[in-house]
Amino acid sequence: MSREIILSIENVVKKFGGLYALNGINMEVEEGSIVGLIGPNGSGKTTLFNVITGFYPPEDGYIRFQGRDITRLRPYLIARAGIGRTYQVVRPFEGMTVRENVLVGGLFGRGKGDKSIKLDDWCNEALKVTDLEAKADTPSELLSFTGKRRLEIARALALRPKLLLLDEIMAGLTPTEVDESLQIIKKMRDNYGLTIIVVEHIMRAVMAVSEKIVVLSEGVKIAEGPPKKVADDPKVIDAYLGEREAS
Amino acid sequence: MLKNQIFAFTKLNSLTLSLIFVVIIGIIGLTSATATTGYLYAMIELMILAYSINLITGFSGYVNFGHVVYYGIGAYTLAVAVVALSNFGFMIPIPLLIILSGLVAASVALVIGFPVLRLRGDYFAIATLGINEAVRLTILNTKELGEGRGIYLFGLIPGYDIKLLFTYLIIILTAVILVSYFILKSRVGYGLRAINSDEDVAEAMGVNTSKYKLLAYALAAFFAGLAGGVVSLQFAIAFPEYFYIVRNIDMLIAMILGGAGTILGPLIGSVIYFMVKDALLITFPYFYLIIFGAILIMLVLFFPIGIVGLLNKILYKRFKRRRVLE
Repeated sequence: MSREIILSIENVVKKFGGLYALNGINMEVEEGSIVGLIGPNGSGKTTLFNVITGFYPPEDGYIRFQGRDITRLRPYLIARAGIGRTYQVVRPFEGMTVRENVLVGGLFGRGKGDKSIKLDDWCNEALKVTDLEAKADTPSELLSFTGKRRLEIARALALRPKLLLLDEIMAGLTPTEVDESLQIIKKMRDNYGLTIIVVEHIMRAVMAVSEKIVVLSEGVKIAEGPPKKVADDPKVIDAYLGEREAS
Repeated sequence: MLKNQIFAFTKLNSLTLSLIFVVIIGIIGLTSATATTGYLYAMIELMILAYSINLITGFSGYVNFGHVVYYGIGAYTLAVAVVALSNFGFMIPIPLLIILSGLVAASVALVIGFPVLRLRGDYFAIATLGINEAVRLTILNTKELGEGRGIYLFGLIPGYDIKLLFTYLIIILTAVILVSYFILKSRVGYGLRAINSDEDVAEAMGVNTSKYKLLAYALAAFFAGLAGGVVSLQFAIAFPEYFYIVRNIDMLIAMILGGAGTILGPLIGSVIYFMVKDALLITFPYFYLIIFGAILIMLVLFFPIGIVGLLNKILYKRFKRRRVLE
């Protein structure tokens, strides 16, 4: 059964000075799928997220979301179109409680002006999925590291996105917490039909959750396919471990 | 959300506390001797300015050293309008002239804010300093605007009546408190607070950051412009001294001392700041600025949360709720 393509990235180029951070990336994401985006440090994963969300306009190429060209839209319009994201380094709104943080996503996201769902209900739902209900009235800066990671997800979820970009939400977590995070990711996909792109360094996690893996190295896509196939791809092993010396 | 806002008038909170204070100070000002009225008048002017800079700097975190420019523009707008209208032998009611001052200041802010609000942090602060100087120097060198002498309004406007001017200021103060409260409690308020905390994340959460910043900036300018219009009436002259940077520092410090981004903050801050500054001026006429400067440095370094922030810290222990006071 083929599903609709929700996001397509066509030949995207992003340069910083003379350095190609992304050099002609092509990628398609099916609606309702979970895609793992992996690659060594500096391979352009976070840059790709910033390009998709409009913070770095690309030098060349197109990004289409639900058939609509969003390449040069302002970031807030892309967010309202239905793309939510989290940050690798957690950035909660300090000076606001957990609930207020989530409320910002709800107030300005895709649900803006939609009367069919009550804002409070939706925010509670986002807090519930991420297991933050008990901490709703805590100042966000007092949350634990794990809590802040969860808050990032809850806030993005409150936008009522169609596509969620998760940037290393499991880095620095204990194995148990990693498993909980995997459950959250699956729950979000199954309950809300979200499409999710995960950038992750923990291979166990990304292999377990993704249906498709895309591997970047030095701004170029070097492999794409089901987890099993990608893990055995010699090019991927080279990128991570360096080329095997001829013996 | 709107329902909650109307409900806000019926219980004891930061809004009603502020309004009660305004009523008390209004009654004292209007019934006492003119010397007391004059003292309170100057205090209330500082309050309006502190509230107006709070709308942009307190809410969105954009430190503004050029806010006084809109006060000056307001003052000059009123003066120019009065002179121009008198030339035609014509006059419109004074309250309309004051509102015109605010509108012109806000319009200028929309034009200036559009490019300047693209700058962030220190760059924004420096640019706003530049704007104030640029406008002041332009006026100093424009013959039609009276150069350094200013524009005289003696005989063109009604005579000096401190009680009437005081009433104008009380009305403006009430308006700026109401507007601040409703903004803080509305969608715009959440957007501005998000910008204050992290502008990029706010944008990623769907906040149209440029629009909200510009809105707050123009609204702040509007109220500064109203206060400027009244000062022209008070002295019956508009002159370049209105662009004096110290007034900007005054409102900034009064706001920070009370609590930036709050509703009670500018009020409490202005009262304390004004009384202390006045007392110091009388006690140490020559050294008061030195003493004052030292206090200000300590304040910014060690007390950025302000009095409302401090009270909230104490109240947090009792109510287990943050932002008991706003």
